[in-house]
Amino acid sequence: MAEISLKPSFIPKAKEKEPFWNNFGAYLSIFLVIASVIAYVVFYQLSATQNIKNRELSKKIESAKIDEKNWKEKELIKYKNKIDAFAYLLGQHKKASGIFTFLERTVMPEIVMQNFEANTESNVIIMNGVGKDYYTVAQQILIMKKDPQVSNVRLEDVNLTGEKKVSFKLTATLKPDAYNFPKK
Amino acid sequence: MKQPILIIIVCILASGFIFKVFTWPKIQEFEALRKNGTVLERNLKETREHFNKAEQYYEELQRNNKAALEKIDEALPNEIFVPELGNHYQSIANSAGMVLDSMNIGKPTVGIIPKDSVSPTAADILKSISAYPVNAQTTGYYSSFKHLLFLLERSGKLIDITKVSFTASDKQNVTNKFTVETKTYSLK
Repeated sequence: MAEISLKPSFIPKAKEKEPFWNNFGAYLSIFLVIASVIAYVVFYQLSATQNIKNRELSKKIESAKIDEKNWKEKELIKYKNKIDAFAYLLGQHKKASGIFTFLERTVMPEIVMQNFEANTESNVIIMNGVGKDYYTVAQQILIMKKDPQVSNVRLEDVNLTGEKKVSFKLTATLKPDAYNFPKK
Repeated sequence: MKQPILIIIVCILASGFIFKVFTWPKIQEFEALRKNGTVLERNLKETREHFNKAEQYYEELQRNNKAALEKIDEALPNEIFVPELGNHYQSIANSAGMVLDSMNIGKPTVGIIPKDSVSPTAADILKSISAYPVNAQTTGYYSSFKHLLFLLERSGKLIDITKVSFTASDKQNVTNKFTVETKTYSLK
């Protein structure tokens, strides 16, 4: 009778294969960690390089501003300011000699002028004169009042002198454009 | 691979942490630096262009308007040398045929208050103007005094006549006393 062996026998069992996605997922996640570290190193380096570049650019801008040819810009600004100031002052410049044309036009030959004062800033003129009579003085005032350059005339003091003449003090305010230079 | 799920979880957490805490701020920092770099490059270009233009305008101004600039410099100098100013008035009085009896050059007032509305820049410039009061007593004929005023208001220096006064004599063809108050300017 044939013997039947009851010895346990080792039958290798085929190893159960792990699913593909398990290993792939693990490698991918390791790769992610490495990629994050590499990305950090790369951006660290890029930032450092960019920082140096920016500092150099800032230095270049500063040196461009203090470049030796920049005094010309300062001179240019100085001239611009001077031209602006000059233009303003010239705009305010008055033709004070025009006051004599005004006097020659408005003062009657019968009036003797004793004192005269003209202020070109306030446009006020003060005149002390003597007329042969009241009628002459009145005419003088009317002539001044009718002048297109006069805005206001005020007779401040009238006296009869010992020589039977009439002395007076007159204050007139001229219009603001009275001293303007004629426009070409 | 043993315990791949655990590895996956740990690695994902680790990479998330590294990215969030280290990499992402670095990316943002780099982006900000790069933008700043672009701005700086543009600034540098504009600065160079600006100064090149300024140089060009300055040279053109010197080449084409030198005479006009010299006239403006004379009319509105940077500084007034008082003896030279006195001499200027005296020579004008002589040219007009007037005798300069006395003259007073007062202390300058700094800054001009504009009468009309001007731009803030112009107002700033006007603050730098010094106005020198110059009062002169002269003797001469009426016609000479008229000529004196004419010469003063058209002088190379910018002279504003602020007040004119005279006392007339009863007699004809005699000299009279005339007073003229003026202002002349400098710009610092």
